[in-house]
Amino acid sequence: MRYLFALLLTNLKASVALRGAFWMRAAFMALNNGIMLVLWMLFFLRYRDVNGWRAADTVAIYAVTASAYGLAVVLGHGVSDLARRIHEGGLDAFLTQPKDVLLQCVASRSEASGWGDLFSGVVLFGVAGHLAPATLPICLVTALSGAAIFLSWNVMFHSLAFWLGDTSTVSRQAWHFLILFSLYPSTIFGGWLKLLLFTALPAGFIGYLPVDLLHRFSWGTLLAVAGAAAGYVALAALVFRLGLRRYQSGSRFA
Amino acid sequence: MKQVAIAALAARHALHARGEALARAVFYLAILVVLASLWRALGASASYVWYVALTEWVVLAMPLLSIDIEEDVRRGDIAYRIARPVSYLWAKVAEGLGNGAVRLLMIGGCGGVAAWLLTGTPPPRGILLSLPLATLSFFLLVLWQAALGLTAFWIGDTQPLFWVWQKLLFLLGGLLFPLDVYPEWLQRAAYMTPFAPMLHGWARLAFDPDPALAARTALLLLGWGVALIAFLAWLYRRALVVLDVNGG
Repeated sequence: MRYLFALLLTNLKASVALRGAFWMRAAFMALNNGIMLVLWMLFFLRYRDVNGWRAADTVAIYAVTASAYGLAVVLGHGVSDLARRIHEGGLDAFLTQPKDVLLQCVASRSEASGWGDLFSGVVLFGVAGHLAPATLPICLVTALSGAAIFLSWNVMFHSLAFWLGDTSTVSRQAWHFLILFSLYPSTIFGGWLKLLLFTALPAGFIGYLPVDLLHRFSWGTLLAVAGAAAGYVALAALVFRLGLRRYQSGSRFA
Repeated sequence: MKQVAIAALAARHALHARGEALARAVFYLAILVVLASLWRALGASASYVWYVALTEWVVLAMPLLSIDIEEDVRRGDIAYRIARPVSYLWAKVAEGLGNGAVRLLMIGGCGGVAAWLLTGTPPPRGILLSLPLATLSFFLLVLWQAALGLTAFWIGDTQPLFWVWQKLLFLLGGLLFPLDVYPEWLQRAAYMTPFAPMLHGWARLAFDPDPALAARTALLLLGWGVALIAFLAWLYRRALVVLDVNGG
C-alpha cells in the first residue's frame, strides 16, 4: 500500500510538473464536460422526462461518471498502453521489480485531464445536492467503484494482447463504449441491451445504478454496486495473471 | 497537382487500414443504437435516428489531422517535412481528404443499413439533396482539424482545444440532437457560428428538401470555407515564424 501511494505521488508530481499543460488539460476537460451538460439541459427543456429520467438524474449521472473516470485516469492511466507493452515486451521492466506487475503497470502514469473530470464531478455532485454529510460517503463509494470498473474493464481488454497480439485499437474502442453507455440511463434500453449493461458491458454499474443509489438508498443496491466493482477487479486480475503466463519477454535487457 | 497525388495515396492507405474503419463503424453503430433507444423512449419519429446517422457519419469519418500535425511538431519531423517541394499544410489537408473520403464510403454504408434496420424506414426523401453538401461540410471539418493541429506550434498539446471544439460541434452544430430541439434564440445564435451549417444545415435538407434552403446552406458553407482557408493560410505563416524562432 505504501509502495502504491509513493508510486501515485511520483506520477502526480510528474503530471503537475508541466504546470501550463496540466492546467490547460484539466480546465479544458472541465469546460468540455460543462458544454455536454448544457446540451443535455437544453434537451430536457424540450423533453421533461425520458421514461422517468429527468434533468436532475442526468446531472447526477454526469457527476458519478466524471468522478469515476477522473479517478481512473488520474490513478491508473498506465492501463491505456498496457496492450502495446504486452505486445512489444514492455512488461520486462515491471517484472524485474519485487512488486505486483499489474499494479505497477496501471499506476505508472497519470493523466492531467482527469483532474478536470474530478473537478466537474465534485461540482456536479454539489449541483445535484449530494455533497451533504449523509450522501457524501455514497458519492465516494460510487466514484471509487466506477473507477474500479473502468480500470478493470480496460485491463481485461488490454490483456487480450497476451493471446491476440496488439489489441490497442479494440481496447480503446471498448473503453469508449463503456463511457458512451455509462452516460445514458438504462431506462431507455430494453431486453438484451439492458442485460448487456449489467453483465458484459458493465456501464449500468458505473452510471445508472449509482444514481439510483444516490436518489433512493438501499443496502441491496449498495451491495450490487460494490460487489460488481469487486467482481470486475477480481476478474481483471485473473485474466491478466492467466495472460502473464504466456508473456514473452521483449529481450530488452539482453 | 501534387495534392491530388497525395490524396490518392492516402486513399489507397485508408483502403488497407480496414481495422481502423471497422473500429469507427462499430462505434458509429453503438451511437445509433443508443440514440435510437433514446428517441424510441420519447416516441419520436424515425427521422431523428436518420438525422443522427447523417451527422455522425461525417464526424466519425473525419481524419484526426490535429493529432498527426501535433505529432509532427512534437517529434520534430516537421523540420524535414516543410523542406519538401509541397506545402506541408496543404499536403496534410490533401492527405486528410484522401483517407477521409474512403472512410466516408466505408462507414456510410454501415450507417445507412443500421439506421434502416433500427427505424424500419427507408432513407429520407431529401437525402440526395443533402449528400453533396455533406461532402462540402466534410471538407470544412478537415480544414478545422488542420487549424487545430497548427495550434501545436504554440501550445504543444492540441487535445484540450480539440475536446472543446468537438463539444461545440455537438452543441451548436446539432451533432446528436437537431437544433430544432433548442429554444429559437439559440437556434439563431448557432447559425451565426460555423458549426450549425456544418451539420444541422445540410442534414435537415434530408427531411426538408427545399432547393432554396439548400442554396442558402451551400452559400453559408462556401463562405465559411473561404474564411477558414484564409485563416489557415495566415495561421500557417505565423506557425512557420514560430518554428524559425524555435529552430525546428
